[in-house]
Amino acid sequence: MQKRLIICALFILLLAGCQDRKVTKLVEVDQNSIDYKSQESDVSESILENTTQNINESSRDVDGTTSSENAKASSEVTNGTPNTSFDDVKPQPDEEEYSNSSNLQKPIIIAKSEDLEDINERTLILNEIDDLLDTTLSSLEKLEEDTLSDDNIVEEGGIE
Amino acid sequence: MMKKLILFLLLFIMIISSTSYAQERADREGRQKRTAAFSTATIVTENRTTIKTLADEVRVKTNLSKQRIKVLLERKDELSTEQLKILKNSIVLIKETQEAMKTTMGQINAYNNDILAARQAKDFDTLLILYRQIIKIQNIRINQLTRYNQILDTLLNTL
Repeated sequence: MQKRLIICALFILLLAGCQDRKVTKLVEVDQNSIDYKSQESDVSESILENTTQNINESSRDVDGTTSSENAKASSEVTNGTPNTSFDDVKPQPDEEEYSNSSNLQKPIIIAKSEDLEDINERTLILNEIDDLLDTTLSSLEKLEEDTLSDDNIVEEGGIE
Repeated sequence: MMKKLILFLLLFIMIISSTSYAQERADREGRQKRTAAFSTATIVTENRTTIKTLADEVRVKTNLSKQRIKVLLERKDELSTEQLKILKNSIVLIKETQEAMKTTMGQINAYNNDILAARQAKDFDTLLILYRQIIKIQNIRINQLTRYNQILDTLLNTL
């Protein structure tokens, strides 16, 4: 009886250890995604899919967790409080922030703020014109060099 | 005998007069070609001055535009939608004009050797043809630079 209790206790500890391991892996993924360098881990891929709101049931990671589970796990990471339950997780504001930060990793998805877009457009246009004007100046030099030499412009009395 | 002498003299006079007429005609044509070459060369010189003036105007306006852009970038002044629209259009027009200017770049220099050869050979016909080709290129450049100045005027008014 005592042996069985010890075995049960060890089993529970083992389970708890496995769950801790999951959380640790997710923390690593989060750091990578913030640094914009996580592209190798399958776990991070599934999280990215969640953040871009493309829930795909077939995208299971190596731990066998579903995308909804990953979303929940990422919320744990951002909140800093591990949650052993993986059911009925609602998206939290922090998680949305995380989604935005991971969206920046993909250049196709651009943060749509009208002010930001205007500022960027304005700066881009001005810089492009500035570059074009530089090209104009160098073109003018070439254009002025491309002319007939004075000797080759005949004048009255120049040729008998 | 007398008749033969008269005929001989008449023939002699005819030959001499026709030869001198041909010579005079050739000289006249030569002078005309030379004059045409000189007058065409004058047009080339005038066009060269016009291109220089227009290029200087473009340079001044370009530098002024660059200064204004620098100030705008430093101050982060707001630009209206209309201004942005004009600036975008200016980018397209500047690119088009630059591409058009590239098409004739280096073509006038390429004529220098041919003109030198024609000048040394006193070949006014060739000289005239070459000058006319140069004038065509110069006219294209004058149009392009005039257009460029107009684009820069619009740009300066917008900035």
